[in-house]
Amino acid sequence: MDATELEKLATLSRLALTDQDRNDLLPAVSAILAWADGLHQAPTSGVTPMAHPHDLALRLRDDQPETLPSRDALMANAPQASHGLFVVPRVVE
Amino acid sequence: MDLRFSELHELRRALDSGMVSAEELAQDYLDALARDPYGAVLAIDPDRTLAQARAAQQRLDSPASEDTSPLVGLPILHKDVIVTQGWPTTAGSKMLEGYRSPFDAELVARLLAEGMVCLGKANCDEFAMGSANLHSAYGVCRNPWDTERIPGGSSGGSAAAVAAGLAPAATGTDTGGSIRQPAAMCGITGIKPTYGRVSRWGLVAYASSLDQAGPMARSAADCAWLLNAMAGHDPKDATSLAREPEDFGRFLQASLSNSSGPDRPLSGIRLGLPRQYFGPGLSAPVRAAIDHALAELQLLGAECLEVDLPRTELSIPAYYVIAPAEASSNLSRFDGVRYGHRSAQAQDLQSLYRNSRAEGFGPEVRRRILVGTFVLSHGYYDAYYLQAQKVRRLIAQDFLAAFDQCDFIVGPVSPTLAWGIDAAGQEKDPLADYLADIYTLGASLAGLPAMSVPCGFGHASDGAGPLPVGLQIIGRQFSEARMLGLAHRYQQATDWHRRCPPPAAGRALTASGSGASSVPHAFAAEAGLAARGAP
Repeated sequence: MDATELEKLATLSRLALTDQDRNDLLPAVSAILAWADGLHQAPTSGVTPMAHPHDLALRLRDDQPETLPSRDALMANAPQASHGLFVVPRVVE
Repeated sequence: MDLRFSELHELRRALDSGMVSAEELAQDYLDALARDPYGAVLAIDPDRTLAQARAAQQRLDSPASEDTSPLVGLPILHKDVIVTQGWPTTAGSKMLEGYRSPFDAELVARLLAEGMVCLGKANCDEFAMGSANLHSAYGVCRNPWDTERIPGGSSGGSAAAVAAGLAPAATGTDTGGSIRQPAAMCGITGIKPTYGRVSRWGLVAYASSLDQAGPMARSAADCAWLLNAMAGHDPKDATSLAREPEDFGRFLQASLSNSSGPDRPLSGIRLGLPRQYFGPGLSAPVRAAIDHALAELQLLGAECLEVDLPRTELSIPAYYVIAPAEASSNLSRFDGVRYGHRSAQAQDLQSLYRNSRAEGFGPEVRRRILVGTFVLSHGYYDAYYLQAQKVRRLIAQDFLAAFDQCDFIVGPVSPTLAWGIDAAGQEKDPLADYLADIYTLGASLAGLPAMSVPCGFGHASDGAGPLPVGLQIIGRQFSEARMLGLAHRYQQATDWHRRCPPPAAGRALTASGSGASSVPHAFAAEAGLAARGAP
């Protein structure tokens, strides 16, 4: 892990970094990943990855109408809204 | 009689006898929460709580009532990663400061339907990421047994509140030990059910293949009552299990085995002690308390035998790859657009995302997002994420093999007693904190039910203490009722779960619970409700 890789990760993660963040995060994330390399000690040839504790099949809910919170209630936490819509910075110049 | 440190079962009798009303009970806990000296509570709303209490009392007073719920009128505190209509839900993060959910989590709705009264919201590590409650954006939470020490985490506020008699019960969530470890460090009883037992609908998601909510209370019998209400199939959660409803309290009285008798109720029960849980990493005071508990369990008739969980050490890197991977995906929803913090420093959409997330998330959350993004990224996915999932399978198989030899696995919850709150230590090597999760991560990865039961006290190397120690019981999938039965037998023979921490000497360590009523309630003095431990 080097500074360029950290910057790429921050972009993928949509996280702005300050110089202080870079100084703190580079050694911390590198140490965690170096330690995660310990996983490679385990022979896992032929082992099926376990994504989940139960082998569940995706199921569908019955198609029944239900009452959901109103649009106003769902929009109430929006940092910025107008006319019942979320406002974001201009995306098309 | 001191009701504030009572079990739910005792409060039930007090309510049924008319000794106290639901409203008086709620008011007394609200008064205690308003003076919370531990930083255990993040929000209370006395009017809303008392309205729920009055509704519960009406249920109790109704002459035509055929109410069979044992929980009507009993108060509970909810961990702040569980959404509640009315009370704010912050998940311990600045990202969700001021957020109010338009709906209740399924488990909150179920407890409310049973007549429980919500007392407010409990402090926790930010997005449940932490083992010490040092990663809350709203301040540290302190251990009622020693306020210079951590309560454990991430459900630290829940555990501290129950231990200190600020609430008779609380909800918690456990992704890698977040119910069991704080329960152990604060001396209360908590159970993480089998993955899929309790709906995750309305839990602020951390690691979806591991997250599971459960009860934290003063006894195993109380946990059984709460789990009866919380568990059950929920079509809104795709991973909620569709199983027949069951009574999790059915082994509190019924025999656990055919060979048990009144003097030896655990006769015929085989307890597996993983060699890897008793190695050099286990501290002396914890070891001593666990050994004492094992001797007690043997006196009750249980047979102890050694078992192997050979990949215990690998559970740490496996967990700290899988959980951050899922977290990095789950937390991508916080974009500053629909809810949560929005940066004022945004020129375009990209800077809106990046600045909002950088300002809203704390250091531990950012670390885990970056690690998770790395292990899921092109070129590293197979080597880290897929490899961790394969190791997860092997760890689950190790548990299955151990359960061929025993009925339950028992051992310590945490290798150490609660450690000191060191302001400078908050940003210390995160790996040191991760290592402390070594005994709890395996059951989480395997999706097994696991609980912590108070089993004694120890003194730290600097002489501090007494500090509580928790005995961990891990069961096969869906064996919660039997686990609670085992824990109940132990609690009938011991009184560790009935010990109370010293009063907090009246000092206000943190400011919280603003807007709360602090008017002393006349009833409290009359019934001696706040006679003990009132901070």
